[in-house]
Amino acid sequence: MGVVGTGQARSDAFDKVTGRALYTDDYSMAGQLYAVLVRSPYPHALIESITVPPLGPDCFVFTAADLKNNYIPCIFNDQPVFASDKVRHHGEPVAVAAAPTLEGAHALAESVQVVYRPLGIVDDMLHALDDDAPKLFEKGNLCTEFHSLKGDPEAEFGACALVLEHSYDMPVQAHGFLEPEAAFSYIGDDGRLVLISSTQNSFGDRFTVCNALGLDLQSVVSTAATVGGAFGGKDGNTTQIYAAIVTHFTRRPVRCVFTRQENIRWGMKRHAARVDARAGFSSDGHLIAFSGHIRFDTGAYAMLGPSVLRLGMEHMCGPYFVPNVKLDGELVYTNHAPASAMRGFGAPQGAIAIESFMNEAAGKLGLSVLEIRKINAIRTGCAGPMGGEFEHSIGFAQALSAFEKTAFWDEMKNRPLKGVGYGVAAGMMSSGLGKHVPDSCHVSIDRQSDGSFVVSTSLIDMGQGSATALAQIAADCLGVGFGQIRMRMGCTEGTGDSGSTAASRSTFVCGNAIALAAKKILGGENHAEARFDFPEAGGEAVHTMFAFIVQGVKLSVDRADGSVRLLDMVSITDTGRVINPTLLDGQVFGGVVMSCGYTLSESIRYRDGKSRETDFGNYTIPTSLDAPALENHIVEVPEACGPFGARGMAECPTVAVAPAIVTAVRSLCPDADISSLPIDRYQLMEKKHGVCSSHT
Amino acid sequence: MAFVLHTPETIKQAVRLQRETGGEYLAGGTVLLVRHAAKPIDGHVISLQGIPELKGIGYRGPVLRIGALTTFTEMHKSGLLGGHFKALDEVSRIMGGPQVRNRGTLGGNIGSNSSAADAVTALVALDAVIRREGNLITCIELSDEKVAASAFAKVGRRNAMAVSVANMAVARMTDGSYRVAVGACAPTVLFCQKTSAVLSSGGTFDEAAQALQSEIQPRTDRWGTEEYRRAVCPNLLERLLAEVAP
Amino acid sequence: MRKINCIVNSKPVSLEVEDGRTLVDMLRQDLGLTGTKKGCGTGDCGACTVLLDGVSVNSCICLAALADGHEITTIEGLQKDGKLSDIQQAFIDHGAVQCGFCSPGMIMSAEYLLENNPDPSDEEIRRALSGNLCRCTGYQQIVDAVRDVAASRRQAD
Repeated sequence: MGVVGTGQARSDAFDKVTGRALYTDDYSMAGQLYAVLVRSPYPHALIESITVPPLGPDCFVFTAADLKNNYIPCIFNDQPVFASDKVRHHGEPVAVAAAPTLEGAHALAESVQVVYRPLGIVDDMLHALDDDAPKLFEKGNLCTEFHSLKGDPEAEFGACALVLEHSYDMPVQAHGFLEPEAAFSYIGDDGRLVLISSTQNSFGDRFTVCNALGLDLQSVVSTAATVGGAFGGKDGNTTQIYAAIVTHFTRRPVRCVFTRQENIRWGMKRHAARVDARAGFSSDGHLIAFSGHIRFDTGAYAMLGPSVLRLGMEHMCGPYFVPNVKLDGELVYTNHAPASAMRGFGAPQGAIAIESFMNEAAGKLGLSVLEIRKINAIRTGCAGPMGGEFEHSIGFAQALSAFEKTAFWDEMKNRPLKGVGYGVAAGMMSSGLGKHVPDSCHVSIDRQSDGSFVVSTSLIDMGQGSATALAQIAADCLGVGFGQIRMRMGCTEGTGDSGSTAASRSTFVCGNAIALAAKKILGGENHAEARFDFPEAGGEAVHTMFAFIVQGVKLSVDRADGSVRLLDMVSITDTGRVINPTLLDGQVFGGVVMSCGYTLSESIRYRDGKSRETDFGNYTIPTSLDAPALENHIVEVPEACGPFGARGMAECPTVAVAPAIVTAVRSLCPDADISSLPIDRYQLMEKKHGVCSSHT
Repeated sequence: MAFVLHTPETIKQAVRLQRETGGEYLAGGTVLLVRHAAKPIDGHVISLQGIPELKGIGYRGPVLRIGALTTFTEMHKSGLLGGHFKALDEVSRIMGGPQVRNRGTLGGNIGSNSSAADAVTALVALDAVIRREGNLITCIELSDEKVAASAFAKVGRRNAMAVSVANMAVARMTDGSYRVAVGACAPTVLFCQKTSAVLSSGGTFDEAAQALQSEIQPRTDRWGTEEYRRAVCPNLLERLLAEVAP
Repeated sequence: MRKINCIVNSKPVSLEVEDGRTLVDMLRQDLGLTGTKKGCGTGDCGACTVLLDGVSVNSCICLAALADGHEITTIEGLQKDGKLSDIQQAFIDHGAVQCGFCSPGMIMSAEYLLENNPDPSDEEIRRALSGNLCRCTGYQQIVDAVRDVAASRRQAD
């Protein structure tokens, strides 16, 4: 009787509920300096000069001139650590100032004189590629593009019984993790630079630091503290490089913690998107042809934008077999804060189109919203939208069947409540970093003298519960109790580079590595190392393994003020075998509510290149009073190459929430034109009394 | 971190200190200290926390007296607002969030000078009397003899911790007249004089809605558009009138 | 600078604070009680929630100087004789903790709720926690934990 499959309580819960868990800002050392960034007040400008005033004792300022390599390694290496010749977004770092007090550091940062020559602003991604658009880079504002063609959708549309077409404007979303970005660095007793941070990728941070400063990789130790949420917003450099730079040159402990205002205004974001889609159906409900176009706004720098574009396009057709598919996308630069990874990674942007089409087509073709999905559901062996094949286990059809048995479906079909809107949608989300991106996990296991084991990996528990799930896997692989496993995670010491904790990959890739290492331990070794590589997709496919979700939402609309009241949301999740159902529920519930905010109350709006939203007062994520009652059930279609049959699912719950809500709202407000998120309440209101055009 | 804090123990001390230093009064801190976090306040801050005469809620004859430093939680918990003063009770129950209601005060809400200050909208409809000593709000008075019934509604971007996009309070007075107040739809909280007059003289709802449109001055800002505010106000009026109907 | 005397987690504390110092900074930096978190600095997220004379407040918008003569309870003060409070245990049991950053503040707000309302409806639980933002859990397991504790306490009476 093992622990995999049980709702084992989290190994870190005791420390978290007692306040003992140490997050980056909880660290403190004598002689520490506070690092504050000097940021550009202009969204787009040339830098004519940077003048550092005479520095008092214990005051330091560093700029690009102090660095060996002034760039942050990423896909395109287009982002400097410090802007030196031009700035491309409001708030872009130009220098770092450090002093023994926070007030002193702020005053020092303000005293650095930077002379700018403002340039025209690219404030609207729809005009970023116009001939007269100001150019962020010499090559122009097209960062990269994506095109794929399978079959002949243009020809097939003509033969379709029903063709649906819609465009959507999807907003910039902030991650909203409760712990702001933070780093703490110091010189350790052995002379190495120690970097503690709130991060998703310790090895990535180490490389960024060493690259910028021209240091040997072995001279820096990078480790994750307890991380207070990330969701993709800590996948890459936030504060880490700045703290490390100051520690490197001053040899002092340094703390660099963003304010919430810095996080909301200038932290990484979910890409805004303009989505155009067209879907053609046969009279019996088969999806025959699909043509989709997405323009993503990556802001001032590419960061992980190219991967978001690729995944977003790949997921645009949803979990359905479509024989004719044309996909076109562009990633454009604008003078907005850079967009990068955020839970869902391009899939939520596209899902609103396909899922709305499925619901609309069902209504028009006389099918139920589950029937039409069953007709088109992908199965293992199906061809993918870009060629290639869905090679791994798929429990989507089973999830649809399970949804049919829910109380939600019974009520929706047989006894719908008056004044309540019901909306169903389905989503899929890949696991793994995708083709051509190194995707390996290194694990080492050490037997302790008391019979327990230490399992080391550089992957990180940022709240999702990986430390617990991986320990459950290790315990069962090694045949010991859960309490006999100690996870050592998130540090570059004593383990190989396992890449970023992202892309819903950790349970799968690390669970498999643990299983391999455990076999060696069981063979008699006291120390075992193993590496597992994420299987690569065949053919043209980008990803090869997916999780699936079917969701139903019940809501009401207050026609007096246009507000949407979310009542209940039920999900059926297929993620192969479930390692820990309590953790799984938590991931589903959190992802669902995050996307409830995406649909109803959150957006970052830019005006003249500056974010109008600036803090947690005006960037409004859902409170407990906004979240619906939530329920999650599972179907288990085991994955043969997954640890204990598991597939990864952390992002999947964010994908289909918006179309479920939009469908339900449309059922109550059929005249509302919903073409953008968050849903505009004005569209949903009864405008009857004394509202006449002479006042507008 | 740059201000000097004073902790007077009487109203007279507080008023004198304010006159001498030109400083700001600090009630619960849910406005002033948020401002201070964004841009540190220089100068002087006069805390009112240590002045017992500013606290307390209770009747003196038919007049309900609410000390300026009474918190929203204290007002709601008192149970004294649930009847005809429901407009203020509803504000006390739902504005902000629990921690904000535990510190935010009625006097501080008035002193915030915000057109979206929920309590002010309720007080205007309730025809409250604001007592001052010098420039310090000391006490707010509501009269049993004036108010028969009242109601309040707010519209925000989410169900808690939301700045009002629009709010409204309606009071039906014991003399049969009506008082309508609107917030966040004008430079200040607005007593809708024309709307109130129409309702008081027995006018139709449509006439009242027309009057409302003619006197609110909504703008488009970060929280909402002019069009939305114009559309929602008549709907709020309809709902609140139903709530206070005899 | 002024000298203040207060009680923190049942122990008398005496220290010097600047007039503008916030209560959260005093707790975290001067007293080393880092269990109370800073999520926003503007009283919008509740991560800094503590009990001030038994009443839940955002300590990031309270002045340390005004804590003089008052009693403060932080997350570190909830354990009695090394035993977790029933709310802390319920959070663990129900999966109500993920990244944990909101948890100390959330737990303080839950303690305050159940001290004042021993039989809350789900809506009342949600309203009582509406000043504590969480981005990880979607709130459901938190509500379940608090409901469970309320029921257990009523049973025990």
